[in-house]
Amino acid sequence: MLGYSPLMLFLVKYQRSTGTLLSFEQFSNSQQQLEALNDSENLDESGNLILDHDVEIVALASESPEALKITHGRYFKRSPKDLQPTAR
Amino acid sequence: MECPHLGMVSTAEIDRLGRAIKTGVLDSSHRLILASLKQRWLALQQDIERELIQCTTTHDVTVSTRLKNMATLQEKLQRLDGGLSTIRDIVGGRVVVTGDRFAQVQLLIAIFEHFKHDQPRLIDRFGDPRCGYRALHVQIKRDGVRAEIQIRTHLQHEWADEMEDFADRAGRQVRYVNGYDFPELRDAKRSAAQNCLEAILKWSDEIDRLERSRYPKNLQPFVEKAKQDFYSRLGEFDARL
Repeated sequence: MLGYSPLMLFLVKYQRSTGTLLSFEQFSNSQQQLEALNDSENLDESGNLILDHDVEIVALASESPEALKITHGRYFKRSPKDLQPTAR
Repeated sequence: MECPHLGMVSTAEIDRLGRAIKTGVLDSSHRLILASLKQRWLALQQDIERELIQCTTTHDVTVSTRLKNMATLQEKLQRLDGGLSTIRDIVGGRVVVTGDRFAQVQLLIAIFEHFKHDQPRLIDRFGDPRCGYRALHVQIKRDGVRAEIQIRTHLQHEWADEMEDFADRAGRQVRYVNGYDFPELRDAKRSAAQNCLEAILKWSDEIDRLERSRYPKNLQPFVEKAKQDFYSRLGEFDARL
């Protein structure tokens, strides 16, 4: 049986065309992360998807924000090195 | 596949949802299945993250996992023939290993061993590079959900990150279509993008040569030169707005 390692949950919004990190949020549990993910995906009046292909909205998990900056460096390339996520 | 609140969801239902995502038109039953699948995908993502951390403790690695976003998922469904049930990287792990290809293969073995009950399958992007992309991937399937774990050295990872960044601005198809010639760009911008592509592919080849030759010092300057050449051409591309 595996033990559990500490895990951090994040949501990143990133604009591809400009390389801009639009937001970087951290969540204390997966329910909050899921709600934020659902909230960020737009639906029209009929409930159909309105997807902006220029903006990536990605749910991530890692041991630390620093680990994420290594594995997904593209999102943070044009941000301050010491950028920390906003807690939700 | 067992889904929260819904019980079993069939492959046919998942593929029906995939066709709806492809067009962007979702009815209430699609939205219900999607909400439940997302919960399932996120749970698997977190399980894989924990397990990757556990099974790589003796390796010098950095690990993260991610859930593919809806826009990228839609792009993939539009690009490929297969249905949503066949997409293998909705849940994705990434492991960046400090060390050489030997360390990378050692890590691959450890990951294979850990996920041996999840139908692991190797995708060898050394033997079959995709538009310059080289790495080792492991596909798994757990409780009907597919996931893919990327295993990269730092050199491979740096290249892949830059390729993705370039593709974001020049055309994402460059990552999937060999010999892509940027039809959405015009004149000088298009020519600059083609120059960038040539340089980044050369950079990938130099990394491959260095790694295959076990990192002799005399080959390292070729990697650095190819990388700098790419950055130089990227500067020219960015200057042509």
